[in-house]
Amino acid sequence: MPVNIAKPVWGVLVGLGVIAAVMAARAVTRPVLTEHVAAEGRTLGPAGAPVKIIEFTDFQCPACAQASILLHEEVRRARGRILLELKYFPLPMHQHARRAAVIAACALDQGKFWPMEQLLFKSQKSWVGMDNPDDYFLSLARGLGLDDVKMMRCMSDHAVAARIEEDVAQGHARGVAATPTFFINGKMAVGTKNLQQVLAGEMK
Amino acid sequence: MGASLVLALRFALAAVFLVSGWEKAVNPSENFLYVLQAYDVLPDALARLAAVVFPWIELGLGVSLALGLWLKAGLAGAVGVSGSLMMIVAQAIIRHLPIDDCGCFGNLVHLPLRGVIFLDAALLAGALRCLGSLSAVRRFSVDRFFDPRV
Repeated sequence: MPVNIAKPVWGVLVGLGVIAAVMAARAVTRPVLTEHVAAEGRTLGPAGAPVKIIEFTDFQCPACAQASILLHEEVRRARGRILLELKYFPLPMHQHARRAAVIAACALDQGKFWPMEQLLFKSQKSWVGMDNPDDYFLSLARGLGLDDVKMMRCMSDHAVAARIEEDVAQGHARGVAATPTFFINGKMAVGTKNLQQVLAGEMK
Repeated sequence: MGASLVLALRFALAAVFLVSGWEKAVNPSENFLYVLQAYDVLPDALARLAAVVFPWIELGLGVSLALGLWLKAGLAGAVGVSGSLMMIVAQAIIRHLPIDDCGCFGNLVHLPLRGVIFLDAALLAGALRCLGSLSAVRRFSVDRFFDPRV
């Protein structure tokens, strides 16, 4: 019967329609970033390094803490061949992640971003369960010799929060949904296992 | 269960598969690959393939159930997929794998593993129930449009 012949054709047309809809949605929701906004003061390694890693991180995520150790080691071993750039991507399900990002951003203002990044990850288990970790974060800042008054002023500064939001928006535009997510010379990798695989290829 | 309720069940199943498939297909497959790796059930090469293919399977099932196109096969697929997901989640719970969020709906909905196993069980039960009432489920379907006897 002619109608029975038409059914598979109908199915193929529906399938093509779904594929077209997904492709269109990908194009709309993931605009290609033509201009990269550099994370000033949040880079490790020389600007002209052949391998550039952009990391979207969340200070409350245990996998990000592991990634931090791995990346610092990789940058050290690569002797100038890697440039690491860190972006804030606090996940909504981690209640203190945004506050920790604010602390890191405030430490950046006083020139101690990387020591604070390492300290936040190292002490992660200590502050994750706290109701309000602000005092603990301030004690970390004091330990790094940062100015208490400047830190407290910075922690309530809306411009700092806006800086973090800017990073989150950049992450969403690149399709970041989980942490840690890396872009190694533009190639996306989520998690340390995939980072190591892509990085091994790029370092050859 | 009345015919209308079974029909509503078909559309509910379709919605779940469409939303979860859409969310994964529209976003980079690397995100879903990370989710799959966390469950630690597939070898790496297979996980990479599944990260690309599985969202399209979910979308296909969703479209099949929503339109009622090749409905019996769609429902059988839904039984297979929800049953498999249930087993994958169960093994993750038994092994105490450190998974905060099931990753089933990408970034749209965050569900803990213990919650999602009930969702998968409900999907499985729903798909089996629909398979048991094919005649009622085929109301408003492309299958019936092409062959009114089914």
